[in-house]
Amino acid sequence: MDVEEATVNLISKDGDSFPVSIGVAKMSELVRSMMDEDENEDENSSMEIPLPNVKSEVLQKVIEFCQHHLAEPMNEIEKPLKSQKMSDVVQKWYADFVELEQVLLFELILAANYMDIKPLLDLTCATVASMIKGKSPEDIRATFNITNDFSPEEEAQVREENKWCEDA
Amino acid sequence: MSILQELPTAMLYCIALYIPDGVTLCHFESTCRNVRAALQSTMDPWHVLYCKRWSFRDTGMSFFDKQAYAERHAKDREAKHLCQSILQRAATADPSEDVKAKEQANDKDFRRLFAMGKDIFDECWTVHDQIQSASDRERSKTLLLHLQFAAIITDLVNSIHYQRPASSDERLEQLAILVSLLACNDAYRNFDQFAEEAIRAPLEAMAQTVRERLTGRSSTTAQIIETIHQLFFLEEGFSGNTEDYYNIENSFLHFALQRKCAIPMTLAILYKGVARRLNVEVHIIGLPGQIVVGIPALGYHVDVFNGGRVLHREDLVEICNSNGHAFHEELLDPLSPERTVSRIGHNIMTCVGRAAGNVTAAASPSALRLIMAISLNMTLRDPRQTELVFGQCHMSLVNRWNRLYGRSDDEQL
Amino acid sequence: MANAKVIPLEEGWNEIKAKALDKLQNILNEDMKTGQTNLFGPKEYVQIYTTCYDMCTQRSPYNWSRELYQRHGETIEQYLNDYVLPALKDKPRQGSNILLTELQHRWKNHQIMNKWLKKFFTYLDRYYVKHHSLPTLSQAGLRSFRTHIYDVIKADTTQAILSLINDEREGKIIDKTLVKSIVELYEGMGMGTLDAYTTDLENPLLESTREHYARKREEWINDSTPDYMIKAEGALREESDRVAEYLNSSSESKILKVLEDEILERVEMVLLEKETSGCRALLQNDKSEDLNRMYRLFQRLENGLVPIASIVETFITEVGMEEVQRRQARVDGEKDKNDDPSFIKALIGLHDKYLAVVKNDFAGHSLFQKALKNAFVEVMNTNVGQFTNAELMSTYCDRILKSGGEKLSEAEIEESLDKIVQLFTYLTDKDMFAEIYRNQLAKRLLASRSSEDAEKLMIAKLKVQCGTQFTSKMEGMLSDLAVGGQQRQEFEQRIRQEKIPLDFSVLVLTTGFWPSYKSPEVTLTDEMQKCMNIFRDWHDQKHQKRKLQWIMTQGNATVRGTFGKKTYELMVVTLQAVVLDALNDGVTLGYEELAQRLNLEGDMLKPTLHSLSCGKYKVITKTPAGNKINNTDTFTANAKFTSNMRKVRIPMASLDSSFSTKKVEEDRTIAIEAAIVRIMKARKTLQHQQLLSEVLAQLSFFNPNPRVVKKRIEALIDREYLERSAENTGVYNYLA
Repeated sequence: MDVEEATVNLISKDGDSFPVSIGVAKMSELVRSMMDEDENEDENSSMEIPLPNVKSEVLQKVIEFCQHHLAEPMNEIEKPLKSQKMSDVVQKWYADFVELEQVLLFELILAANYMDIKPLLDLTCATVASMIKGKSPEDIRATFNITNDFSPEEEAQVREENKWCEDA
Repeated sequence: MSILQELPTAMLYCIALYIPDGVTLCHFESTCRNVRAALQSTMDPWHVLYCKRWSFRDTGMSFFDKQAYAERHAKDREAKHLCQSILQRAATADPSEDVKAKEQANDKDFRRLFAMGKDIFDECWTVHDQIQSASDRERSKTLLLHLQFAAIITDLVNSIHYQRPASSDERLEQLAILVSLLACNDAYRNFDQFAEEAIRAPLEAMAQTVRERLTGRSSTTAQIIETIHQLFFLEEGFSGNTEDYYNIENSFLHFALQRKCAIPMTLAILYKGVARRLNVEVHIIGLPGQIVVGIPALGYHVDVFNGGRVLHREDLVEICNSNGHAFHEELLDPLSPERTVSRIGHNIMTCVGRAAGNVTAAASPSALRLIMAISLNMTLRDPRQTELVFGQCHMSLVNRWNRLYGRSDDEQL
Repeated sequence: MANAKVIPLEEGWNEIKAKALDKLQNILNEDMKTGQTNLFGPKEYVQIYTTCYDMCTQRSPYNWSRELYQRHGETIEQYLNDYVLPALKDKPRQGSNILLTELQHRWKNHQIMNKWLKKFFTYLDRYYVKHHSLPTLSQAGLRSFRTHIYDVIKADTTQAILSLINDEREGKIIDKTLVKSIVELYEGMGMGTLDAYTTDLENPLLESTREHYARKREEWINDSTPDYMIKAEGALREESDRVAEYLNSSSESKILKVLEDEILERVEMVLLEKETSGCRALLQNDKSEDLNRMYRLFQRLENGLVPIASIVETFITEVGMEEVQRRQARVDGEKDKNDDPSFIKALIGLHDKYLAVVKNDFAGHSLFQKALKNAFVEVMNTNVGQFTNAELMSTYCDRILKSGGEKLSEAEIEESLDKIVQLFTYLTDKDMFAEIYRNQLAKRLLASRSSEDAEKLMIAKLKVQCGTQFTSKMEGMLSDLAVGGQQRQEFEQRIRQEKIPLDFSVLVLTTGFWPSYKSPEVTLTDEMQKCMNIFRDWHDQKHQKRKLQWIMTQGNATVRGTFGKKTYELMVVTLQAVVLDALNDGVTLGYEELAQRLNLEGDMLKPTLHSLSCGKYKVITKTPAGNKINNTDTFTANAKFTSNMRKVRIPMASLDSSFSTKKVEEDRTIAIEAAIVRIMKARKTLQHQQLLSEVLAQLSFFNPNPRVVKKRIEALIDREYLERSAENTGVYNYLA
């Protein structure tokens, strides 16, 4: 039996079924842990794996990532980021991959966390970090639509603590 | 409400790990409650940033939190200011100026820089890189070289003193090599290369020769010492420098190795270096006026200044008496590495005081400062240790320092 | 996006409990089919995982990470206490196998449970556990098992295992796989270390092993030593195998050590000293295999071989001394001669034998080599009678090397010489041997009674042992002969020119190589004198600087004597030839006349006359007859002399004493002084004791008495090579 052809079906929250090869599917630790036991490839094949926390749109992107990663593994991203441009830090494909609207980007973070796909999590978090770099608190809030929910006392306390950042 | 704000704490933490600098991290932290809470629950991002920014070799032993980062960041700023003011003073050459005052101000800044230790070194390089004028760059470079040595030295002295590597013999050797490094200016840019090429390799070569001569016979300590003496004193010809006794270079190991003559202290350290590589324990004994070497396994002492002749009790008493001291048993206690180095510093200061013959680059004020820094560094940590560890030697060192460099009382090192 | 709905704690927990935890427990409580691996399919599993995930990622105060972690622990704990512990509680009473089987079952179950719970709650492991430095889920599960089950049951379990092991030791068959799997439990309970195994199983096992073998020891000790050893060896092997089969390998050395203590160390001396089967007896009866076993066993102990080596040394010394005593008996009974080949042969035989014993039975171990050496040093240096062993050995060599002595093939000769040299190494007074050997060598060479190759061989062997200095004189002697042979040919041509009716050849010796000989100024016959002159002239031409001294006491001659009708060829030495010549043509001469004419003293003349008139071949008649030569005797040729052989050798006693200890003493004195000077020159100053020890270290051919050395030091002080230090009389200074 040709191993490459063996596939499993990933079922999204919306009920859509996505067949993927076993190699790709195993990029997710969650999926892998369900399959580890089975010695019998036959049983594995066309196994159905539901992923109730992941929407179809997101799952599609995830699968896209995994497929590419299997073929061209992503470089390890240094902590902290050495450059603000993602293309300096990872290969071009991946840099392009994360050019997404914010909502999808964050959904990907959550999906990567849920499915336990470390490279994807690293990539997405790093991307967000690169978007934060160099911005003042106000700018950050603006970019990501964050509500300032500090009380005035808390606000003052925060400012006091971070006084040292302000270069003379 | 944004999704970012609503992310689980763990995710916010993952993002924070990638943020490349402390300032941004601070700003991020001050955006909203959730983020602040997430970042306060762990100090990891700060640790990663600290190690990255200051090239810290993370051995897992230290952990840096936001406060540590903040403090060091502040130190860097201060260092930058100090460097700039030192350079500015050097640049202006107004004949009407009070040179002495300028010297003193420089000195004060200089010492302040030292006290900050290795931490500020990178910042100083940043300042240096921004300098435009060529002459300023030259001056800055000299300053930096000294700082670099200070940085390395302080670091090494600390690691030698506090982490107590290998053995006290190893410690002594490292400290003595450090002192010698100061006489090299920048011939050797790093300690390890210097230590290896100029000093450890020759010592090892001598030890190896002795080993080869002893193979085939089982070697008693007496035989090993015999062979060392044959090589060290007869063939290599190490002896005391009677002609130019007060030359400051007699205190430096690499000169001694080249010229085969030096003062008793330096010869003793070299002798000990060979002996310990052959697993023979020898001690440095500080008699008043002369260093001798004791060989506990054989029960006698050796005069390294005079071709390794055996010294019996009477001879030791004789040495003390001829230097104006009464003999007592405690004098035969081996010197600890710290006391030995202190004594080396003492010797060097004596040479400078006599200003005899070659006052080479090795005796430049900054180099001397660095030597003092080694000797004094340990006292800076814990003043109470001063008396215990250094005793009289140290006090006279401090006094000399004060006389030469006029430290005022209200300044704090 | 995470669920908009927030899951409350209890609701979420109940769901997990129902779908996962309860189900799991039920499966485990009923006997599972072996091989059923996937207890929860993906659909079921994902549901449970998702619930857990959601509960852990909700924002405070709805983040249930802490609670879930706690409840995870509680679930396991409860299960263990409710189901597992009761199942095990009453098993110890029912017997070892039952207890162990149940425990094995429960342990396997626990591993399954741990695995699945980890899978369900795996999100906790990712962040929560790390951030709070808590044990991971599986660690927590293991710890729970350890606290609630293992710690309670371990004493009983250990007892069960020990009793099975004891059964096996008594010869019964036990279920090894069962024991092995329980051992693995112990190993697992250490959680990364072997501590649990060591403390809870290994230590009690060592105790019970100790008891068991202490008992065995008492049983076996009455056996003979060889039998005991066989049993001991067997026990060691058995325990070793046991460890390999089902214990942790780290126990091997410890268990074996217990055995070594109990059955070897404690009884070593008893075993060695048994009258009829102990070490001595085994040596006496050449029990090779038993000795080898003894070696193998006691080698395991730290100093196990030392007493054995001591017994061996004593034994070999005794056996050697027996030979010495036999020799003593011979000396007492018969005349003491310098030749006792049976003694030497016996010693060689002993040496060979025990060399083999050391090599084969004791694996050539250095302790035993040393024992052999010490024994032989003692024996070889015990001299009996007038002649030292050094002399006996040299004479033995003489026998072998002399052609006409023992008839041996080349290979046999080499072998014998080899063995002699081996014995030689044990002599303290090697220089004595050298001196004797040299004298005998000289005799052999001058008499042309040995094969040059054999001589060279022996000298080479001595050189290997002692260095060039030792053999330089001997080699010099050989080279003199080689040169001499060449010279002879050249000289032969020269003398033929003179047409002298004498066959004449000269051998030139280098003084210093050869022993010193007396050289009397005997009056020679005219022909002889003429030949000598020719030679001297010829020689002086070639070597102007050299001075010749004629040694008349050595040298051979062949005299053709006609007695009545018959002519004989008489092989004699030079002095005999001269005497015969004087008595030519039947003249009669008195002793005094002869002495005067020949210019010989009594010490030379009398033995010569004796050999010609009182020996086996009386070619001269002495008047009056008798065996003693008196100054008043007269001598004349014996006209009635006959012999069956045409060529007759008339032997004569050697006129030089064989060797003198005096010479050796002198050489020693010189050697000591040279060593002292050498040492002092290098060291300049030395304390007396140090100087003494250095001197002794340098002298390898003999062992001087410290008092002798002291005397030499004083002699050197007198001659101003050294001085005593002014401050300390125990210290010497070198005077350049």
